[in-house]
Amino acid sequence: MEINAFTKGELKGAFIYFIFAKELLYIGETQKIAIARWYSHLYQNGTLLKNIQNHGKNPLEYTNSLHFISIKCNEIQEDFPEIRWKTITQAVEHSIHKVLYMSQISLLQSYYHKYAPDVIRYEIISDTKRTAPVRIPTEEWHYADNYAKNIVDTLCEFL
Amino acid sequence: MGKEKTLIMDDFKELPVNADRICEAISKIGYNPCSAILDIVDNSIVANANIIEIRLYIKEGTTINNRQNIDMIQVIDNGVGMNNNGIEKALQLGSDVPYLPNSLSKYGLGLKSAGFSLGGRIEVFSKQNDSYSDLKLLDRKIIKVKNKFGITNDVVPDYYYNLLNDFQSGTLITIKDITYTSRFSANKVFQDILSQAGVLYCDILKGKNIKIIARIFHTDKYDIPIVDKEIKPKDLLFWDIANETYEKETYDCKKPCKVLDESFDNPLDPQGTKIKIKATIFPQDQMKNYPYFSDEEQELIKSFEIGSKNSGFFFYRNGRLIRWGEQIKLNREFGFRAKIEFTTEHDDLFGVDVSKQQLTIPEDIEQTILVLCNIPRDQSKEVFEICSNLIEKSKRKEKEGSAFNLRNTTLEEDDEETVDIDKVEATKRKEQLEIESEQKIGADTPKYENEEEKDVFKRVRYWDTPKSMNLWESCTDRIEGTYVLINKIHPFYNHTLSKLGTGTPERQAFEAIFHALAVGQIQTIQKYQEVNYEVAKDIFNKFIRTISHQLDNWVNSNWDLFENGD
Repeated sequence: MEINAFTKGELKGAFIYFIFAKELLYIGETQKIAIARWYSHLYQNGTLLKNIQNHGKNPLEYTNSLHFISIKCNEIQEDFPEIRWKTITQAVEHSIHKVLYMSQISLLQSYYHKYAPDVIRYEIISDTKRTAPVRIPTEEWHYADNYAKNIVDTLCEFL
Repeated sequence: MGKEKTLIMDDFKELPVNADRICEAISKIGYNPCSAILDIVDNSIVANANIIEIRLYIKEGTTINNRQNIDMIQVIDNGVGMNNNGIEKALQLGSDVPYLPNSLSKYGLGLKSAGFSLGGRIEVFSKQNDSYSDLKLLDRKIIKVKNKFGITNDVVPDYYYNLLNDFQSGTLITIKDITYTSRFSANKVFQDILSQAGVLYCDILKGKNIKIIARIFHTDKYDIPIVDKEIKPKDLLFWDIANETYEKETYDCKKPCKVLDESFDNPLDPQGTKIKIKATIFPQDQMKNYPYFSDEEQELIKSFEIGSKNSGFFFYRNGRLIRWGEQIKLNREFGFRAKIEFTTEHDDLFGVDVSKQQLTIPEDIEQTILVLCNIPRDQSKEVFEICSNLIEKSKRKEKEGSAFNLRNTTLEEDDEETVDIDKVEATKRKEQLEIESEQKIGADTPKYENEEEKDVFKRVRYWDTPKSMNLWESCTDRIEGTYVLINKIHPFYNHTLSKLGTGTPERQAFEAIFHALAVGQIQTIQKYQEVNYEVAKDIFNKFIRTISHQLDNWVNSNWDLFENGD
C-alpha cells in the first residue's frame, strides 16, 4: 500500500503544476485545484499528450511514468485582487519556464536525482507563447520572476 | 569488449598537397575586406597591443572613392612582437601557437586566410625588445611555382623600420597584390571599418584601453594620411544610458530601456561558465525628428541608429562580436537588440567557424533565447506603438479644437425653460453679446474650419492674443450660436491641455466643458433678465477671473504632475 495523492483546501485558487514524464517536463497553471486540470490532460487530445507527440515521442511510452506535483500560490491570492489571479499566475508560469530553461541543475539534482536518475537533461514540452500575459506592468513581471524562483526553490527543497 | 583499438600507422603514406589550391580555399571562407582586416586586428589584440593602426594605401592617380583603388593594406601594432622563429610559426597553416584562455584566436589560420582573402602576398615584419626581425612573407605566386606552402625572405623597405620606430615591440603586417572579388573602394572599406570596429571591439576597447586608428594614405606618402579616424567603442545596446527598466506608463520615447539581463547554462557543461544575455528596446527612429524633443534629445535618438540593420541578436565571443544582428524569428522588431556573450569554452556549442564570423545556434539554445526574449520583444512592439501614438498626436497638434468641432457640427444649445422672458430684451442682449464677441476677436477672424465649405463652425477656438488672463472667453455668433475662446497664454493650457494631445478624447472632454461653460454664460446673460445686463456680465467676469486665478495657483503647485506620470 502507498499513499500517492494528497490534497487539501479550497477548490478554487491560483495553482502552478508540474507533470514529470521521464525526461519530459510539462509546466502549467490553473485556477481550479490541479487535479481537475490533470484529468483533462490525460484525454487523447489533451495538451500533455499532444505536446509529447509534437516533440517526436510516443505518448504511450510516457503515460505510465507520469508524476504530478502542484503548488498552490497563496501569495498571489493575497497580493492581488481575484480578477488578477489568472493573469499573475500565467506570468508566474512563464517565469518558471524561463528559470528552468536558464538552468536545469536544481531540478536535475533534486527531482531527477531521486526519481529518474538516468535523465541527464530534461526537455520542457509546455510553452507559454500564447498564454504569457502581454502588456502587464513591469513591476508585475518582477513579482512573477521572483515568485517563480521561489516556487522552483521550494519544489526542489520539498523533493 | 573493452579492448581499445590500436591505430595502425605502419603503412601510413603521405599524399601530395596542392599548396596553391589550399591557399585559395582558405581565402574563401566568407570574408569581406572589412572582416578580413579586423581578423588581422584580432591578432594584434591577442598580442596585447594597445595601439593598433589600420592603413589603406590608394593607387597613384586615384581618389579615395575610386573603385578597386587599394594598392596595399597594413596593420601595425605595438604588441609583444615576434622574432624570426615566431613569425615562421605565425605563418604556418594552423599555427602551432598556444593561445591564452579566451583568446580571440582559435585555429591558427586567421592571418593566412584573412590575408589571402585580401591579397596574394602577406608580409610580416616585427620587432621584439628593440630587435628587428627579417621581413618574411607568403606569396601566392611563389607558392604556385614551388607547389609547396612556404615562406620567403625579402629586403625590408626603409619606411617599415619607421613604422615600428616608436614601439619597443610590435608587428607590421602588409598585404600586397590586392584581390578584388568585388569593386570596393578604399573609402568603402574605411567606412565599414569605422562603423563596425567600434561595435566589434566595444568591450575590448573599453576594458583594455586599446586605441585603434584607421587611416588612408597615398601609396607613396606613408607619413601623411589623407583621412584619419580613431575608432571609438560603441555599445549597440547603449546599456550605460538606458533606463533601468521599461515602464510603459511613464515611457517618454527618448531612451532605450533595459529589458533583460540574465545568464543561462551551457547544456554541454551545465557546471561551466554561463552564457550571458542582455537586451534593450529602443524608441522608433522617427523620434529623432519629433518636434517637441530638444535638439540634444533628437541627437541622442539619432545616435542609436535604430533600424533593421542594428536590430536582433549580437553574439560576442570573448568580448569580440562575431555575429551581427542574427534575427532568430524576429519579425520587424527593429527596436529590439540583444547581446549574447560567450567564451572559448562555448565554441563547440556554437560551432564557431574558422572566420569566427559564423556560428550555429543549437536548437535548445535558440529555444532558451526565445523563451527569455518573448516578453521583451513584445515590450519592444509596445514601445513602437507608444511612439506612433505620440507622433500621431503631434501631427494633429496644428488643428487644436478641430476634432471637437468636426464631431459636434450640429450640437444644440439647450436652455432650461425660462418663464416670462422679454423677447425684445433677449434679442437686444443677444445682439449686444454678438457685437462684443466680434470686438474680442475681430470681425475678419475665420469662423469655420473650412471657410469655403462653411460647414464646420468653430465652437472651440484656441486664442493666442487674449486681452486678459481669463482661461476662456464666452462668445456668440449671430448665425451659429455660442463659441468659446481658450486662452493659450494661461498656464493651465501649457501645463495640462497641451499635454493631453490635440483631438484626444480627454482633450475633447475638456473642450466640451469650456464650451458648455460658455453656453451657460451666454444663455444666462441673455435670458436671466432679473439681473441687469451689465451686472450679469460683471458677475461672470468675476467668476471666470476667479476660476482662472485658482487654476493658475493649482498649476504652480503641480508643475511635476505630468512629468512624474502620476
